[in-house]
Amino acid sequence: MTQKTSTALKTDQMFINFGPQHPSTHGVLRIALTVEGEVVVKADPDVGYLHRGIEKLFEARNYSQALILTDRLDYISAMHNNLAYCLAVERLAGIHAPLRAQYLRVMAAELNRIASHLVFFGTFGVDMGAFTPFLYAFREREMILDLFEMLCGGRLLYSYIRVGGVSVDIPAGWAEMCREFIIFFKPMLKDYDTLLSFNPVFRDRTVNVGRISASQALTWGLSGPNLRASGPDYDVRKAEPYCVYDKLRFKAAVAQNGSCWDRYYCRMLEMGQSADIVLQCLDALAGPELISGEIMAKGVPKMLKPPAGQAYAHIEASRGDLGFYAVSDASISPYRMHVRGPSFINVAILQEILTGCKIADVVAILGSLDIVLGEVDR
Amino acid sequence: MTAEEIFIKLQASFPGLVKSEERIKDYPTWTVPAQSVRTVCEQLRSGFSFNYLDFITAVDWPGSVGNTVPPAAGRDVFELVYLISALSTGVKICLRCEISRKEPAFIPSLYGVFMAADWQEREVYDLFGIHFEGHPNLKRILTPETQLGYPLRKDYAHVPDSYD
Amino acid sequence: MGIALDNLSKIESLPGGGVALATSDFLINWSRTSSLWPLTFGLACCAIEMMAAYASRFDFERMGVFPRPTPRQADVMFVAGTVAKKMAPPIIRIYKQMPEPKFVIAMGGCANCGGPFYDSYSVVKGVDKIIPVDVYLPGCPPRPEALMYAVIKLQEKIRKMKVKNNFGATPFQNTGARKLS
Repeated sequence: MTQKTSTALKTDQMFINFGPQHPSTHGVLRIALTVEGEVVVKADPDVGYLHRGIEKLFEARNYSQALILTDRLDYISAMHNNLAYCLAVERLAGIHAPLRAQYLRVMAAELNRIASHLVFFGTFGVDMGAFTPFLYAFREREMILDLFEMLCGGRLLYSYIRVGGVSVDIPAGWAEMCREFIIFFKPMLKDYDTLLSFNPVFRDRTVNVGRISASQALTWGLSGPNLRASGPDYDVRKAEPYCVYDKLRFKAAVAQNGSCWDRYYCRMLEMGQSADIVLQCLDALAGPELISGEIMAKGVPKMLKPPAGQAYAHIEASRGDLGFYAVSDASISPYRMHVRGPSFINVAILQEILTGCKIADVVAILGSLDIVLGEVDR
Repeated sequence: MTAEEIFIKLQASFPGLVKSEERIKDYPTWTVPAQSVRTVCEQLRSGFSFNYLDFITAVDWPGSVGNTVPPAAGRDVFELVYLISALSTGVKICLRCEISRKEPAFIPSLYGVFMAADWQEREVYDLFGIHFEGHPNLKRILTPETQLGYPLRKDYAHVPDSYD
Repeated sequence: MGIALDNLSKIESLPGGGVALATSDFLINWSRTSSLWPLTFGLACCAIEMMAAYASRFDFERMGVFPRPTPRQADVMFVAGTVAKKMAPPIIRIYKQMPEPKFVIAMGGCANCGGPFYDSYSVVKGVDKIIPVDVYLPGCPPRPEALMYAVIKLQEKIRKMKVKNNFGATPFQNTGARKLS
């Protein structure tokens, strides 16, 4: 007996778990992928594998203790978290940090931005299969961490920026070391361009991948380099200047295509701009009017009790628009402290842009969004 | 257009829209009746080019605690806070809604007006138990499957589970 | 090879068996300590210091520590970061996927005992509540040199393993609890 068999290829869908443990060093994120062959049909990001309940813990700590919890949110650029928290609490309490402290804050934040983008550069290279940029990036990063260790004792988590100012002033010799580092670092950016940015294999994998249009980026609430790479020129440092950013000269990096390569290159350009800002701050701190300034506002009590009210302060952190919404009921603990985490809002767009791409592109797109799970899950 | 002008124009179509007595510091804050929050946001987006949702969050004000803090002094409510901006003009407006704390707490969802509301509303549902009508995928997002109750409520009593 | 190792302790009854066992202990432990391959299992902030330990300045690979992405090829698991309750079942599953002999280093305050999140509703207070731990490394986060010291301590612990005690199987195996020396 003969049987008619169809010669058409029958395809089926497969369910793959991307994570929560996977070699790409982005933390514990799980993306539930439904793939047909190599093409992703449905992507469902699943977060919460690092949910530590930090927003509830804020209510059980006083304002100084809550500061150390903020370090652990976006742990790669801890200075920014401290800064946003302190700005929100200072807005509630009506405290103004002195000018020298503000320059120190900006300098610490920009150095941390360089360190954070170096981690992005290294890990994005590893995601694409290029291991060498990782070693170069971490060599430069160790120099920045040496500077931070000289300054405040911490390599990764600092609690340097306190409510009312900063905790310590820069020690003797620090400014010279910092200048030496910036002079060493700026030519390295050209090395990175030769190594990775204009590498044909890297460009093939990132230039036409993960395109996000400007309207998509705006409606999904993206921020930081992810938004600027798609067109809208929104940088909180320019739109609502905080600390002394209105006195500093820098450019926000904007691109038009919204592909993975654009997001990557915006961060590369931002590193150069941050290096310039650090030099401007060092010059200002050595100038005659600031050289003997105060680093902490007068009259900030040890047990801070801001008057009842609500305040929101946001900054341009390495990952995007980081904001703290603080509600006080005139007691020693915050009544409610909500963290507007840019990574949490950036991850949501994966549901839409991952459909239709290949599995290898999932890694490229996820890497280019530069998320940190501490901020996603809080 | 400044926030003042927008307020006057919107108040014509939404008489329930009032300015809050207690402002989020440095941002214009308006109180919106909960049922019209979606239509107000649609008006802001289409008529006044407010195209960016900064954040959605909630605060729990249980009247039993005897809170005397404005704006929810003495009331037993959930307060929902929305911050919406127009990036081209730089105007940011904060909207507040109050809904009753009695089960179940409902408010219209902003899904479709701003896609950024998708996950942020899921987070508020997960942590407070506020239901968003019209959200297609209202499931827990941050807490583990073993979580009982809504953790960020002030009357949350933690039940020890197998990991404690 | 596995059959030879299982029956190695029978050599002790032969003349000169003690010396042969001691030498084989030395060789087996030397090979295990010199090439401990960890699973890349960074959960939170400690993962960044772990990455720094693999990178240029602190170069872990000179100690034989070469990170593997899959638990099937790993000897040791650095639990680096906070263990959330949602993550606990995957951790147990990955631990079970590692082949024997396997070791665990709890890196950082969160993995030791819950750390700064000790009173949170969604944090497991220490990874030793769900899997057995060999070395506890305090710090928040511990420096890369501290992680190297933890690996050195683990190497000292491995050197005490003896064939005649059946190497000390891990508790999850049916052959009994871990015994060293």
